[in-house]
Amino acid sequence: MSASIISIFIVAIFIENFVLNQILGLCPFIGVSNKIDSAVGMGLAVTFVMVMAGVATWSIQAFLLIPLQLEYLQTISFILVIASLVQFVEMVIRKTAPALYQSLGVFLPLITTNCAVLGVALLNIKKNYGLVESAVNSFGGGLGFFFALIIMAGIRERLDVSEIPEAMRGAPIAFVTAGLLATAFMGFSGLV
Amino acid sequence: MKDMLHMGLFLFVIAAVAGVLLAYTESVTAPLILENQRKAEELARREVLPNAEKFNESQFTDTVASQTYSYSTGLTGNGEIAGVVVKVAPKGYAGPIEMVVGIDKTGKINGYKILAQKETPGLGTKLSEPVFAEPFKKLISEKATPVLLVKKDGGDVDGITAATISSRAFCKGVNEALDLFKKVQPQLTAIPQALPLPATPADTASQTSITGGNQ
Amino acid sequence: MNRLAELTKGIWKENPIFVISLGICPTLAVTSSMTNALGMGIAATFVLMGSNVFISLIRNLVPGKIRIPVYIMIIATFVTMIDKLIAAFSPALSASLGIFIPLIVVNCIILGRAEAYASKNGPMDSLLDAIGMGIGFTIALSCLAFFRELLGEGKLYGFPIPFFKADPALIMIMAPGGFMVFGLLIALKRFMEAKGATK
Repeated sequence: MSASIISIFIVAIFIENFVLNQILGLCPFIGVSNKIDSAVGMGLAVTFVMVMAGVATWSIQAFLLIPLQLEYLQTISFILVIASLVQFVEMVIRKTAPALYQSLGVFLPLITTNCAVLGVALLNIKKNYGLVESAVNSFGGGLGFFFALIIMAGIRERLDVSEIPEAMRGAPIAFVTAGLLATAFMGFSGLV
Repeated sequence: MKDMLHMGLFLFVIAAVAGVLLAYTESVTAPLILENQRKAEELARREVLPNAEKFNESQFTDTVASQTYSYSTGLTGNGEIAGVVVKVAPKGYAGPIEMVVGIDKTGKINGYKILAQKETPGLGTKLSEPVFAEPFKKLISEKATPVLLVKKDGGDVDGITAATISSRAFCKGVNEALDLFKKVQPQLTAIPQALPLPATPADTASQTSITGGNQ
Repeated sequence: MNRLAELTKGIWKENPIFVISLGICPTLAVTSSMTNALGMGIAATFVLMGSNVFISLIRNLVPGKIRIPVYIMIIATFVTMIDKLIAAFSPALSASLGIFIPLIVVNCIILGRAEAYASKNGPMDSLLDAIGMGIGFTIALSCLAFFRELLGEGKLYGFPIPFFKADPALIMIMAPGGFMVFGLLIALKRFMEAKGATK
């Protein structure tokens, strides 16, 4: 039992990394990976929201949708739960860490439309995970996102000072870099 | 205050409209989706056990390990046991490889079909392609008791180059299916007597329910 | 207002993928084959049409403060409907697109068009905007899928292409190939535009 939990965790971080393997959550990945500081903040916020969303959506599925046979309301109820959670996290961060709030700026509300969050919720259900497994998978997924974001930010800070052809500057070179990173992460499959 | 009431009411109306629309869509599509799933399963079973015309869901409880396995029994046109189809999901390189294995009544492998997999495209995915399937078919038809391990491990199966883990997983899956077959073999002969032809859905003797068939 | 321009702006000038960089997750995830790209493009176009028209119709009734949750609910409704319809009528497509169909909900293009266009314009214009953006999205997806399927599998729409079939570069249909082809395509579009501007 515990071994399978650990393997879910490792798989979620390295093998099925949301950004680099599943290709989910790219908007913030490209948008916020300019600076390491904001990358850390965004990564933490996403991880937090993902765990909360994973647990909340699993509970909704198990205790509301399945007993009432309303599975077809899955997408709509999940997205509403996630939207409210994000609103909540935004309020908490604004009150407790105004500096962080300023640097994350517009990207916080964008977590709602971060497909990694809805993605993890849907995958938990699709893979028939229980509550603990869902929470672990969501946490691992969030950490994987966090790592990918920070590695990317580190590289992009270097890219800023290098000479890059005009047309490649900004997003294009970021995507090519992400491609190389994803290739590196492919080395992890077969780990578990 | 009036504002709040207005907003609440508006949200309520939108949610109600959404609910009604979705309920309607669901009521139209749900039977079709179920039918699709049933057809897909039926198709896969027929492919791996071609001489069966009808399949029954069966269960086997291992009293020692206290585990219950599901399989389906294939019956020929005149009600004889053709063999069984077992669904297995061995762990491959990048996740489980879901597949069905068809075994005829003598315990010989009849065929297999990969249902879902996440193996490396172009390497592990060759499991479902003729490159791998043809030699495997040849092996099981020519050799009476092939050793179902990849050649690297001393078996007879021609593994896929650069995808040894996937090939090993495949062999593991097939062996799992064979093991289950050996366990259920005694139970097999007992079932057909309880199932006169043509079978009706009411016929649920010994944990066996009828699905599919040739309606 | 020029209706034709309304329709065509989404295809090149304001192409949702290459210019506004919205909705890139599904772009990379489903473009490993032309068939998937087309399926995703059509599904998203239908959702966009439904949500744009509906939101445009109620644009004067929605209280400003709660417009986003209302939009999301409307979009989620259309997405679920499309999801179920695809599962009912094209199970193969449903299996290969998987969770990317429900994920259309969080495709920023849809919410983006609702907020930026449908909430300010009439239903007819919004419909045209949706069709144009949908076609632009589909073309962008197909562009990526063209290179990825051709180079990665040596096929197009599943049909083998002689020269490329010999020794395909598998990495193109995996995640890294998606990132790289996309980066290079944006660069190419920028390069072409820069050249056009200096002429």
